[in-house]
Amino acid sequence: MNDNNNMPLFSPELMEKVARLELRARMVAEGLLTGMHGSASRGFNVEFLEHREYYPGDDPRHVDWKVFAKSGRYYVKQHEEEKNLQVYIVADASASMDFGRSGAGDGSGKWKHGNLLAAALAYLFLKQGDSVGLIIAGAGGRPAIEPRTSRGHLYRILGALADTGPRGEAHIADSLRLLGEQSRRRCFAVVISDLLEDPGPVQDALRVIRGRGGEAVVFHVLSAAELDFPFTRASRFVDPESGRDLTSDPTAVRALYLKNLNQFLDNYRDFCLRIGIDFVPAPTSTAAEEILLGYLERRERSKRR
Amino acid sequence: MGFLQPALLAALALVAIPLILHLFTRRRVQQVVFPAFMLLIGSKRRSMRILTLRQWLVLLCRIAAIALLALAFAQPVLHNSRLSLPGTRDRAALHIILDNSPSMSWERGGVTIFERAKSAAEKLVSRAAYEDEITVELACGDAAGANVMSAASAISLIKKAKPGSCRAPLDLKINRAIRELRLSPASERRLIIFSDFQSNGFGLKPPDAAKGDPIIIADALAAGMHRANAWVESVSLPLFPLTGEESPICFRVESSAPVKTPIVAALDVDSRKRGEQTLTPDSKGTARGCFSITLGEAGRRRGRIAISGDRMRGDNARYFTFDAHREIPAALITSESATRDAARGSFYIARALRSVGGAARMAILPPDSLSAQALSKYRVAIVPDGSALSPANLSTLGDFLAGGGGVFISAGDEQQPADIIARTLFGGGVSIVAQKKPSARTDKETSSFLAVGELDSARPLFEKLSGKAGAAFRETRFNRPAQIRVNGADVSTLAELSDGSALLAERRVGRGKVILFASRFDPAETNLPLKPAFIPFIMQLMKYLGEINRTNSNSYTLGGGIRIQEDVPASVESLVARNAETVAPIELVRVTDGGGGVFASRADSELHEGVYEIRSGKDKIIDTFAVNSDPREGQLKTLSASAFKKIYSGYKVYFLESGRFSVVDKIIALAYTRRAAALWFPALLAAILLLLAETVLSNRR
Repeated sequence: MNDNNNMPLFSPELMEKVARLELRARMVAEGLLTGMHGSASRGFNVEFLEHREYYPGDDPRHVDWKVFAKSGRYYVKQHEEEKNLQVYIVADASASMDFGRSGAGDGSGKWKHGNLLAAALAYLFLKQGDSVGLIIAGAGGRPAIEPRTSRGHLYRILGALADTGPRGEAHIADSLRLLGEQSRRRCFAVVISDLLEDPGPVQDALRVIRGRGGEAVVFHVLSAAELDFPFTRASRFVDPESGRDLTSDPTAVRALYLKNLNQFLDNYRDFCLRIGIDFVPAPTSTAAEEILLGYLERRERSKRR
Repeated sequence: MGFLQPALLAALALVAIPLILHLFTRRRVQQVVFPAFMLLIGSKRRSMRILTLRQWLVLLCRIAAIALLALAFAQPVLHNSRLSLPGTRDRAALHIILDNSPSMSWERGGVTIFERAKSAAEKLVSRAAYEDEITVELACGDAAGANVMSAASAISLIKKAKPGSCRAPLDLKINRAIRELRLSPASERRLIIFSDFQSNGFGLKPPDAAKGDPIIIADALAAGMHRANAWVESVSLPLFPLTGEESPICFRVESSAPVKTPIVAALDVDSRKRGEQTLTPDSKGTARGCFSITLGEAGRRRGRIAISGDRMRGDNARYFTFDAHREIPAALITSESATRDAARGSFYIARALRSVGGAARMAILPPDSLSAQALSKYRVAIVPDGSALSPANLSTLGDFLAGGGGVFISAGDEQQPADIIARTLFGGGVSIVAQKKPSARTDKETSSFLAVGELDSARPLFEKLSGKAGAAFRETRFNRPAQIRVNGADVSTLAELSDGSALLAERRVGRGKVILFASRFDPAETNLPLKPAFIPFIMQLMKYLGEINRTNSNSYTLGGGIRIQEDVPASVESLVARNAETVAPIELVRVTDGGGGVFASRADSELHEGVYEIRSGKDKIIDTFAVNSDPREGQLKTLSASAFKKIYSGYKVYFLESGRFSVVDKIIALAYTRRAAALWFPALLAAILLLLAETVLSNRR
């Protein structure tokens, strides 16, 4: 009840958007839970100890010396404080996410696709009793929504997502850095972004989060057009964030573009693997539940091992 | 390089379409907001370069393809190409002149060279392509020339062509054909002449040679042939032939080479054979002959002398017309008493005219009663003593003369009448100095006799004065005759006296003629009336004067037109002349520039040899004229190859001699076989390849 009092006053239109988003998010999440066969009690915050690779910045007290004695590598132990995980959903609301809305065969737009993922995850986390916060990165962003566990908090998150439009530059790195600095305890950062900005700062910020014991998962949202570059006619390509443009023959630059894209993806994939972050491709052409289900299954398998 | 369809080159303008489209669409590049822009960085320079290059390549392909298509449809050809491309030949313009003059009717092996020329021309035309320009022209054909026709029409024309009878104006036809061919758009122009190349057909200078002139191909069909031809060169008709008397019709046959075989000449008058004789030409190739015929009826007669014995048809006949008369109506202008006075010349003239029986119908008209009406009944007026006439009498005689009458007048011994005679009847063309005649009885010493001097015996007047009669005439003496000096251009001296003055002076006035005699026929002044030559002389004089000077020539040559003057009402705009030997009549139309009553044939009239009759209404014949081939056609003096090439020295000439062997294949080769490589196929192929390249370039991902 208390949480409900904190809910913002939604306009009817926004309310409709929120309701629709909530409905879809619930459908996605319920579908996921159903598909996982009784694993509803298990989630990100189940109580168990876990080892992970030591990173500079980790408290040396957490190093598991026994494992070190066996393997010769540094691993740190996860503690019981990991219970009641503090989840931050970092949603990219830059102009680059406003793409693919009308693309034929492209599924939903990147922003809509990302919103659905965010809403579904928020629903899941809250249902598990985790506290969920929201940081919207971008010119249209708003102050971060602090993590709460109340059921009504979901509507605050959904309302914020529904009320935001993608524009300007995202500066994901700034948002992540801020998150790393402000979170008082270990957090779980869910980054939903196309990552189309300088990878260095983003990776540094992720590294900081990880270094502080936090966890992160990156849902990399890209449209089919970005993945396949299907353009044929001579076109003037415009960067929606910087406004820069390039007139080019798509057929001539396609190979180079795809090469750059693969390098970009490989770079992130390698980086995330190296620091223990899940890197989940989330193309708009794939349904959100499919992406989430796949991700959760992979995560479950890795835990079992 | 040339084009068979140059007009289609206008399609080259279509190359502007892709150019315009290129310039237009270049500014309409689609804009794509692309978030992954950062991944495109680095490709800018290369991609733009490739894009620009590709765009230009596509544009180039399109322009080149359209240009090549336009070129292909224009059917380009490469002249004198040695490329082994699919072959074609250039569009040819052939102007064929088929000589159908009489000399082309020479036979060899039972076939005339004209038939051989037709066969060759037909074969040549049958090889023409659809786009070729064909013109076939007959040398003896339409004077206006010929137009381009289809091959089928040309073959039809050749098949129908018959030997004509003109003096083939090949020079004129060739010159005109050269000028017409210069205007032809065809790249290959040929002037082909099938002829025996009679030298008489070449007199005009050809046009100055210029670039683009046609190649002249001459097929000399009579080359190497020994053609000995005979033709009737001329016919001499009798002077004022009278019915009932023997009239000689003489002719001359010429041959281009001594003809060993005799020539048989036959005379037809009014389509009736009137005689035949065999002649042998002399060493110069000339044979003369005469037919003597007696005409039973007066009127206009048609005649023909035909020869046979050579191998050339078409020039073996000569047509003529003449008038037969029943009598000579003559008026003796003297007093009745003078005709009974043996001392007067009138006596001897009257006696002579009476002595010829019905041949002369004489009437005595005293000078006092002389009038134009009285004279109108007679063809000839004889004035034995000019001194006896008054100026009014002489004026009347002048009118009679102008109306076509014949006047014979003695100068007399009075100066004043002599001056009037010189002025009124001779237009001042003579000067007469009359001499008083002394009395033979009183002053014999003052007598001064002159003999006959130079005599133009070829004149018809003296035709009867050959032999003894001629010798007797030459022995005639004249006592103090009038001194006649001829100084007018229209007055001619027929005979002179021994002192060089004129004995007989003639002047033609319109259709009439007047003869002035230097002496009277008085025995005291001349002994001519006492000579046996007197009566023949007088009769011949009557006939000569009675023969009306025809304003029109009664003989025309094929190849030229007819121009004839007729006394018909002004309302008559045209006359029809019919040839008994041809079906189609010709029309003679009134020409305004020739004054009243002048009629001429149309330029496209097809004349034939023979005698034409002009009728007024249904039956009345108002005039006749004969049409004959040019005697020069028979001379068969062919032009040599070098002479022909010299005439057309500025032109490229092939002079082929096909007298013995057919050269038609060579003519066809020369006319058509300047082959050119056809470039349309490679152009089309290249255009298709370019379009394929354009498709690949514009759709390449």
